[in-house]
Formats: sequence, C-alpha cells, structure tokens
Amino acid sequence: MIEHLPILAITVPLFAAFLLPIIEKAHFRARNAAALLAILSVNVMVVLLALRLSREGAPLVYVLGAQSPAQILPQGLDFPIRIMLKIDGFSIFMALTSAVVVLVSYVYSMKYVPEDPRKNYYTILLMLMLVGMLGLEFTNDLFNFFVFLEILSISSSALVSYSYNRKFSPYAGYKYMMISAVATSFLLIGIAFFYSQYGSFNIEYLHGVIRFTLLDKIALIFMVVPLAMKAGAIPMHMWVPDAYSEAPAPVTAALVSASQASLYGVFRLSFSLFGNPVSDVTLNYHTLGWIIIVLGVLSMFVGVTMALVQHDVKRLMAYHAISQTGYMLLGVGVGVVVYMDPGGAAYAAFGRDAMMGGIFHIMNHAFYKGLLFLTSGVMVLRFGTRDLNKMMGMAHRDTFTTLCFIAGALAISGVPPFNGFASKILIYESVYRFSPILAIIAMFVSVLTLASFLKVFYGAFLGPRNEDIIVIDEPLPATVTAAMGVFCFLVLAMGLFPGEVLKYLVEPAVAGLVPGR
Amino acid sequence: MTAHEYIWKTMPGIHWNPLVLLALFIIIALLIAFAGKLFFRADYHKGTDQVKPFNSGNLDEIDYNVKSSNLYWGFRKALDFYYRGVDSLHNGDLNDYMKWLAFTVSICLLLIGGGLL
Repeated sequence: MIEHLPILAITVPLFAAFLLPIIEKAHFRARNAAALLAILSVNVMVVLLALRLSREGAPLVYVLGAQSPAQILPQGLDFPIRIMLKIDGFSIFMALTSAVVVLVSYVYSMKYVPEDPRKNYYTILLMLMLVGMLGLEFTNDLFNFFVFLEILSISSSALVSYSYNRKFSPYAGYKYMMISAVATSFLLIGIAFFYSQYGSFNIEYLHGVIRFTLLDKIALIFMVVPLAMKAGAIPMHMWVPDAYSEAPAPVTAALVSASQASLYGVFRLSFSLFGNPVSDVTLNYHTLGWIIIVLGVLSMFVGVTMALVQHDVKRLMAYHAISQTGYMLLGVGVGVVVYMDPGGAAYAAFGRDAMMGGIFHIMNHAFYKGLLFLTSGVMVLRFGTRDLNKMMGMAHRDTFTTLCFIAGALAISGVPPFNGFASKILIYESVYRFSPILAIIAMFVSVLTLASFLKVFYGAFLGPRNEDIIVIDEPLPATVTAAMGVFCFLVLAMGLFPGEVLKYLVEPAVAGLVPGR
Repeated sequence: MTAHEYIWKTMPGIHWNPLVLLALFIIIALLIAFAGKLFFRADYHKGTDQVKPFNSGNLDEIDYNVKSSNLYWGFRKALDFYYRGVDSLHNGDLNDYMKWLAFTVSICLLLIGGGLL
C-alpha cells in the first residue's frame, strides 16, 4: 500500500471531487465531512511520503502502468516511455505546503462560504486545485506537468469567479482563465520543441540528453516565462491583484499556494531539466541568474510601493504577494548566478544559503499570507466592504482575529520571532555577501511592508467601536477561528524553531533541486 | 556546514536567535506593565466616558478619523511621477497584460539571439 502513496495522494482527491455531489444527496454535512476526510488523508499521505523520503535518502520514483512501480525502463528499451512520478525533497516540500494550505482553506470555508446549491461546485473545484498542485509537484513528465497545470488553472479561475453576483468577479475569473490559457499554450509549444527533438517527455531523460540547441533555449523561455507570469513576477503580475481581490478569502489563500506551484515549475525546469553542472555545454547561468534577480528586485519594489497606496484591503495584500515572490526570486537568483562558478566556492559560501532562504520563504509566505487573507475575509464579513476607509474598531470585537492579523503582519514584515524573519534573515545575510545593494533593497522593502500593514491595522482594527457599520454581528464560526489559529500556530512555531524546518524540509528541498551541490 | 549549524553555531547572537528575542520581548513587556502599575494614572475607569476617544471639532460626523487612504500621502506626493507611471500600467486591461508577456518573452529571446543565455 505504502508504495502506491505517490499516486494515491493525487487520485484520492480526484475521485473524492466527483463523489462529493453524490454524497451531498444524503446530507450536506456528509459531503463536508467526506471532503475534509479526503484532504486530511492527502496531508497524512504527504507526511508519510516525506518520512519515507527521509528514510530512504533518495528520490522516490513511481511508474504508472508498469509491472512494478519501480520499473523505470520497459523491457527492451533504454529510455522510459511510461508516465512517471518522481518525488524528491523539493517536491515534498511544495506538496506539504500545498496540502496544508488547502486543508486550512477548506476548514475556513466550511462555514464561511454560504451553504447553497453552488457549494458543491466550490468543494469540487477546491479538490481539483489540490489535484493540480500535487500532480505538477510530483510528476516527472512534461506533458503531465502541462495537464496538471491545466487542471489547476481551470479550477482556480472558476473559484476566482465564485462570487459571480459581485460586479467584477466574473471578469477577474475570465482574466485568470485567459492568462492561464496563454501561459499553458506557451508551455505546450515549449514541450513540443523538446518532444520533436528528443522523442520523450520524461524530465530526467531529457536532462541527460539535452544538447542546449537554439531550439532548447527557446523552449526554456516558452516554458519558464509564462510560468513566471502565473507566479506573479514583474512585469507580468498585473492579473494578481485583480484575481486575488475578487476571489473569496479562503480561495485567495489557496491561490497563493497555486501561484507558488507555478514558481515550483520555474525552479524545477531551470534546474532539473536545464541544470547540468557536469556538462561543458550548458546554459549561461550567470545571465539566467541575473534575469531572476532583476525580476525579483522589481517584484519586491513595485509590489510593495503599489501596496502602500491601496485602500482595498485585499488588493493591498495581493500586491504584497507579488512583493514577497520577489524575495523568493532574489534568493534563488543569487544561488543561480554563482551555481556554475568554478570550484563552487561562492555557491558553498553563500549561494546555497541564498537558495535555502528563497525556498524557505515559499512555505513561510504560503502560511503567513494565507493567514492574512483569512483575516481579510473576517474584515469583509464584518464590514461588507474591502474599503479600509469604511472600516474601524474591529479590535474591540474580534480580539482573536486582531492577534492573528498582528502575527501575520509581523511575519510578512520579517519581524522576529515569526517565520518571515527566519527566511528573510537568511536571504539578507547571504545576498549581502553577493551584493550589499540588493540586501539593502530587500530590507527597505520589508520596512515599507510593515508600513503598509500598519495602515491596515490603523484602518480596520483601531478607532472607536461603531455598530452602525457592522454588517454581520454574529460570533465567528469555530471553523473560521480554528483555521486562522492553525496558520497562526505555524507562523509562530516555524519562527521559533527555524533550524528544525531548515534541517528536515528546506535542506532536502535544495538538495532535490541541485543534487550533488 | 549545514544551515542548521549555520544558524545555531555561527550566529547564536541576539540578533538572530528567535527564542532569545521572544524572551527579551516578554521581559520588556513585563517591565512596561510593572512600570505602568507604578507610574500610570490610577483614576482610569472602564465603561465610563473616559474610554471614549477625544476628538475636537464636529463629533456628530462618524468618519472624523483620519482615513486609511490619508496615510502616507506625503510619500505618495513625493513619488507622484512614479505612481502616475505604475498606475497606468495597472489599468485592468487584459490586452495590456498580454503585451507585457510578449515583451518579456521577446527580451529573453533577444538575450538568446545575442548569445547571452
């Protein structure tokens, strides 16, 4: 049974998604319980896979349709033809992030999203989001990567427009759908370039035979740039505030993780497909790294300056998602620049730490930004608007939400002892050794981040208690509080014990991305 | 050296160790609370008019607060030229979003053409 966990983690939510409407015929509570059970079981499976990976110390390979899941090469052939899942440290790191975020988002939405006939669709689509994320994080096959990205994109765009009676929600969903469709079309063209040359979709096989022809490099651009757009990197980030702000709060929290799945694609293709430090013929990693750094710095700066002047709370937070993606790109970009340096001294001295900081920030960002978006959901619930000018005094009535918001705001600003500090200090210190100017920009962006969250705190939480502007006065459902509590706990625990997270999750993730370095 | 060692052995200083920082925060908070008990006013009564905010001027208006959008107006004013530029980029037009994708792909293809990638 345990050897089939890689495929079960994908198929359980997939089958659950289509069973839920049937279960709902009995009672909607049965559907909710079944969905929760399915997502919980995925979380357990991902944890078991992480433990197995840690025990075995080598990537887990699962071949579909073979006599044995470990049979990579069919009889008589010297290259793989079957669909293959490959789980290394980076895959499991991302899968754990996605699974936890979807679990918490679902718990939040159990009572937050109104129970009406459309709730079936909501639950199905959230399940399919999980399928898409886990599938593209586990697959070792380019075409399946495309398929899972499509599943993720379609389900996400439908969820963005879930509140269809709002003025801009359908248009936001349409935008997300178009952005995703164009991105995946580019990706498919890039994959076709590879298949036409090498006759295989298998990433590991292609990594071994790639010749870095002009067509290969064009394929790299066609695959990586649209994925960067889906991850919200500058200058292709404009869709992010439009989509994030219109989606229901728990969906926005899950969308952060979905965008990071695209970022996973950028890193996975750049390293596992194109990265080949033992070959003489390779990409110019220096230029590639600087492209990633420039995109990162621009994302940080433009994201935070745009956030500072917003007064729509969800748009403000969405711009911060762009800004935080910049930190991840900066950390990994510095690692990429020094990746191919002769002797690997610079990579060993600070490049690896920079990459660890960037990758650690992915998980931290998913949790604290998820928490912030969930608190924004409570703000919208209470005041019936996203406009900060029309809010005040929430700290008087929602003390727990206030504490959660403070934790999230301090974490995103890199204030100790929260998790944002742990990853940002790694980025600051390692990037400083590469270029002090870049580290100073990163620190300055954190100051502006804190300033803009002070603005939200001032607008929504401070001020006198005013019952006249409250739309819903009822106590928060227990599931909403519990979901925020889980994120709050994770944000604090990962900040207090960053060494353990680095040792058991981040270091294996970096080792999975750049094996042998 | 692993990252774990990097953090706990080479950088155990107060600027990094979150547990030390948390302990420091709690100690300072307790000191402030203790100082408050000693020196702050003792004639505060909860549930009376004392807890209401004091605002001069027309108190009938509910939105007498400084609004969120008023914060950092100086920052925005000083960077007006920058915000005029970036605001026009975030116009919500999907066609423009696609143009930026095409632009970025083109730049990267030029880098390949120039032998830089």
